[in-house]
This record gives sequence, structure tokens and C-alpha cells, in this order.
Amino acid sequence: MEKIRRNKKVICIFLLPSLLIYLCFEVIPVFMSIYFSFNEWPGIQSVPLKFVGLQNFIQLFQNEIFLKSLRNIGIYVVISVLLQVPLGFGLGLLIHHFKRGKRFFKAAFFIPMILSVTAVSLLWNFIYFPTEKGILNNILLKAGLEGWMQQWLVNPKTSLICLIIVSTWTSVGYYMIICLAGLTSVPDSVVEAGALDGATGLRKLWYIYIPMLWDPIKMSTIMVITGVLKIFDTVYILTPTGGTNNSTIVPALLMYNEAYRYGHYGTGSAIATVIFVLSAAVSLISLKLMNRRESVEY
Amino acid sequence: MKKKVLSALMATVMVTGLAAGCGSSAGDTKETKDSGGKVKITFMSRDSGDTPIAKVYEKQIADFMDANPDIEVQNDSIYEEAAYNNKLKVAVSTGETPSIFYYPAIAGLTEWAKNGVLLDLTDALESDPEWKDSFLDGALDTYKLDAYGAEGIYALPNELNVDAVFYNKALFEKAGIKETPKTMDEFYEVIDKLNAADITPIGVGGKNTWVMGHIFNNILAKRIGPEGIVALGTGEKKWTDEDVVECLQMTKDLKDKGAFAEGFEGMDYNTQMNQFLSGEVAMISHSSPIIPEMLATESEIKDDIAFFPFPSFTDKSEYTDTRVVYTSGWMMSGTMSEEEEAAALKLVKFMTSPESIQERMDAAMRVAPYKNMDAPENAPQLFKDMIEYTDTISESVGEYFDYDTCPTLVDVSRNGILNMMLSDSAENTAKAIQADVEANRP
Repeated sequence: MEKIRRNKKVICIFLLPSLLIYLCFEVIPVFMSIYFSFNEWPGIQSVPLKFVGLQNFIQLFQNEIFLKSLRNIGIYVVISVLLQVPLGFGLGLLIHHFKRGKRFFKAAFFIPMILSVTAVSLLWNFIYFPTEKGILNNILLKAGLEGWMQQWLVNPKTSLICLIIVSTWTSVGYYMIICLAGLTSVPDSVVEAGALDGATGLRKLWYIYIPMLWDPIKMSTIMVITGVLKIFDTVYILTPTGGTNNSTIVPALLMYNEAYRYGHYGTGSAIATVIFVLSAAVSLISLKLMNRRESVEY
Repeated sequence: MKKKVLSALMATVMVTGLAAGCGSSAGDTKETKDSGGKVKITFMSRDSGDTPIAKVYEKQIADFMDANPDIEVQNDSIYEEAAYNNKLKVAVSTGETPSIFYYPAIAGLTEWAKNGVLLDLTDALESDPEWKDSFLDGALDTYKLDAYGAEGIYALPNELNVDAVFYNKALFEKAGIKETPKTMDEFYEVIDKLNAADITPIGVGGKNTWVMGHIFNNILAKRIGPEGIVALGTGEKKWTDEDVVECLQMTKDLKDKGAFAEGFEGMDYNTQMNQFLSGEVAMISHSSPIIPEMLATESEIKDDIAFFPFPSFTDKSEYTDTRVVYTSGWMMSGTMSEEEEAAALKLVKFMTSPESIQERMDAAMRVAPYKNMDAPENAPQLFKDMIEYTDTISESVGEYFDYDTCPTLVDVSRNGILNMMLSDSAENTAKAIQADVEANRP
């Protein structure tokens, strides 16, 4: 058995189906999409592709709505990273120290993750409903803060942050689970030794937990970045048109509209390529920055 | 080092999925006949599931296959709009255009017509005068695309969506309104009276931008008329023209006159309908297909629902009788084999036979653009009134974007109108729409 497991040919044969699926459904379409982005095509089979060079990209970067979508997604990424990872890991650390109710809280925080995005979005639609019938506005009204009542998803000043809150609420449980999984590899002896050396409270967090959880933190950060850069469903369901004055427009929604609604497949592919390059660049830069601090293993 | 490489590799794997959205592949081969020697054709509409109209379609397709054992019809209908449009666009891009399908456009069909995606139905109609004559006068002209550079008739009108203002008679009475408004001045008086009686005049789910778009389209039809709307679509007229800006301003003024509920911009269509059917609001601007939907609910106000035509402007008396009527039609694939084309034409003729149309009208209360159609005796009064009203329409026009080849106009204009209702001016809205049209009109 051990011999078979070490046989490189056998390893390759077992890997082949997954590799083929990955190539066919991920890698090849990516390269095709990049190729399409240099062409113009109205989405009709009988019409040949027309090579337009960088024209799609030039037009894209002259398009105010696209630039706004980049700005929005930038804000979305930064706030999501700052909220989702610390909150997820914070909850993980908190629950780790619970003596009772560990399972309950794990399940409670993870449930939003397994709900469909549509269900979550509809739920938040009730919360953000624009009149006093909306849960949030109703709470504000009853608290005597009627001046703070808003058309949350319509007001350009609040709509984007409202969507970020929905994404954070949905995802935080996932990073909590990653944190809890990471904590299983932190030996009790290290924590106890640290405590004897005076590492308690925030010092314990800073000098023991964060270094030892650095790899999961890095992975989570990359996952937040890549997940947010391609965000579509939450935005589409809660603000299908991209919000008032394009306040919630994001590149993936714009890509969908250009390709599937307007028949501008070249432009749609160019947006997909920009998202791809942006994701790769931001992920690699983030990794490089985070790699400056090496994780600790015992 | 290994770790770094692995991390970079993982990051790449995660981002790889992002760019995959716009790739597509084309299938060149197409089976005309199945293994049993039957000719296979596909039918694709937005009517699927448990709705009355979907059941009638399923029955009619089954009846057709019973009568034509050499033809197999695959019903690929999808109710959900985005899913339907996506499936259709992918089918067109891969050369697998359904034999008979629906698409909500007129001028927007030009590109497909020019590139052979659609079948020019002129010859088929000319060769069967009886069939051609069964359509209402002028109905077939809706899908003549000559003005856009594609000669021919590229769809068969199938349904008429007749716009009207539906209102709650009990709430009108409560507000002391004795007659329905015929002019906009009378309409403004109705709004004032309803507000005085603490009743929200018009229910609008602004989040679904088409709702405000419909109201604007009615104002546009009553002020610049059908020829003005067509001129706007062909580019002879501009959105920044004074009369068009005036229409935008009049739409915005409705909000200032208190026509809508507070926060209507953030409400959705379902909320609008719930408000109307629960007697919270007095009116909605809608079209005839809403009749069976409203009557199928448990609403207590069903018997109080009536309608009146969108009011006209006294200073534009030439458009008093202009009505907004959206036509939806059936398009046929231009890439079918001869056998498929013959089978698809046979099916479409069966579907447009007086018996089939009457059956759909009886079961699903859809207004059809065919001659000699009567509402069934046992039909609800509201539907009978609509049929009677439809017969009186002498001049009609569709949505402004139906006449424009600019694919982005529908979104940009409707979003612009919603932004205008919130904060923007009519002038800025008009400028933004005009700029978009100039940038995106092919």
C-alpha cells in the first residue's frame, strides 16, 4: 500500500480527473476570457470576433461608472478585511475560552454562512426597509432617534456600508471556524508557559495567539479579498441597479450587465480580466506584506 | 520558501475563478431529428411553473404533438426574468437559438435580425393571407424593423399589455371622488383629495425602477405622442429637448404633489402590490396582465378594483386618445433547418389559431392582438372591461426604449429617473441619458 502511495505515476493518475476539471472549467475559460477582452463581439455565433487591441480597456478606464465601481470595491475590500478577519478571529478566540455553550455559539455564528445569499438578502431587506416598518428604522423610532431613520439602501451615503454589513454578518462565522481550527494547533503548554511569564490579556493575544495563528489569518485575509473583489449576488439582490447614483455598483455587477444585458461581450471580458489582475495583484501584495511577519510553530 | 510558493499558488487558485465568467464555446453541430425520426423544435417563453397561462401552454404543446406525431416540441420556458434572458443570450451566442422564443425588444432585435439570428416572417405571412389577416390591424407593423435597417417582420405579436391606472373604488369614494380623472389637472385634484383623506394616492415600488419608468412613459406618450417617442428612439429627437425634459420634470413633480408614499424609492414592487391589495394605497399604474394576478389573490378589495386610462394633458389634446400598449411577441430562429422551420411554423400557426388564443384568454385572461376575440361570459367584470377598453384603442405606443437600438437605455434611463426622484434635476437626468445614448447606440 505504502509503495503504491509513493508511486508518482499512481499519484498523477489520481490527480488527473481533478486537474482536467480544473483546466476545463477554470484555467481555459480564464485565458479565453482574457482573449475575448481584446476583441469585440455582439454575442452572435455567426458574427466573427473583431480584434480591437486595447480599445475595450481604454474605454473601460474612461468610463465613469467603471471607475466608480473600482472605488466602491476598494472601500468594500478595505472595510471587509478590517471587519471580517478581526471579528471572525475575535469570536473564535472568545468561544475557545467558553466553558459552556461552545457548540451553540459555533452553530449560531456559522448559520448565516450556510444560508443562501438570496435568503440572507431578503432578510436584510426587511431590516433595511425604508419606512418605519423596517426593523432598523422601527428600532430607531422606538429609541426616539427618528432623525436617524433612513432609506438605507437608497441613500447613497449609507447603501454601500449596508451591503458591507450584510457580507460581514454572513462571512464572519466562516473565519471564526478557521480560527477555532487554528487554535487546536496551539499547545496548552505554550499558553500556560506564557501566562507564567506574564503574558495575559492583550499581551497573550499579541505575543501568543496572533503569531501562532498567523497562517490562518493570512489565508483568511486573502479569502476576504478575493471573495469581495468578485462579489455580485448580495449587491444584485439588495440593489439590483447598482444603487442610487451607482453608489453600490461593483465590477462584477457591471461585468454581468455589459456581457449579458447589453451584449458587450468584449467589455464584459475586459472587466473580468481587470478583476482577475486586481485580485491576483492585491492578493500577492497582501501576502508579501504579511509574510514579513513569519508565523510561529512549536 | 516552499510555504511562500504554496501561498502564492493558493492565492492564484482562488482568483482564477474570477475571470471565467465571460468565456463561451460554440457548438457547431445541431441535431435536427431525434433517434425516433421526429423533428425536434424548442419553445421558450417566460410562462412556466404553476401559473394558469403556463398550464395552457403545456396543454397546447401536448395537443400539438398528439396531432403531429412526427414533431417533438421541447418546452424550455423559464419564469425568472434574469435566468430567462441569460439562457437565451447563451443560446444565441452558441448558435442554439430556440425555434420559437420571446424577447422583450423591438428595435433591440435589429442586430439579431441583421445577422440571421431571427427568421424574417414576411414570406410565411404573405403565403397564408388568412393567418396574416387574423392579427389586429397594424399589430404586425410593431415588428417591422425597416426603420432600423433590417427589412422584414421579425416577430408575431402574441400579447397586448395595455397600460391603465388601476384604482380602489372604495378609497375613491371615501375621499369624496365621484369621477375618475380624464386630464392631468383632474388627476392632481384626485391626488389632493386622497391626501386630504389620509390615503396614499399611488403605490410605487421605486426599487424596481420599471415602475417609475412606466409612469414616465405614460406622461411621455401623452405629451410628445407616438411619433415623438419613435423620433427619440431613432435619434431624430434628443432627451435634452425641452419637451422631453418637461416630461421628466412632470414625473418628478408628482412626488412634490404628494402622489407617492414616503420612502417609495426604496420600496419594492411586492410592497407596492401588497399596499394596493390591502387597501393602503388608492392607485397603481400597471398593465393588463396584472388583472389575473390581482384576482388570483385573497385580497378583500378585489371587487373594488377598476381602472381608467392614464390622464391626458389639456394643452396636448392631439394625444388624448394615445394609449401605452406594450406588445410582446414570438420570435423565430433564423438558423433552423428547413424541416425545423416548417415544424416551428406549424406550431406557431397552431398557437395563433383562434381556438388556441381563445383558450389562453379564457384560462389566463391575457389580452391578445387578434381579431374577433371575446372575453368569456363568466370572466370577471374587470377583465371584460379591459377587453372592451382595448377595442376602443385607436392609437398606441410602446415603451420609449422599444424604439431605440441603444442596449443600455432601459437601465440608464430608469436608474436616472429614480435618481431624479431622489435628488437629481430633470435637466441633469436628461443630459446623462442623452450622453449614454450617444455613447452606446450602435
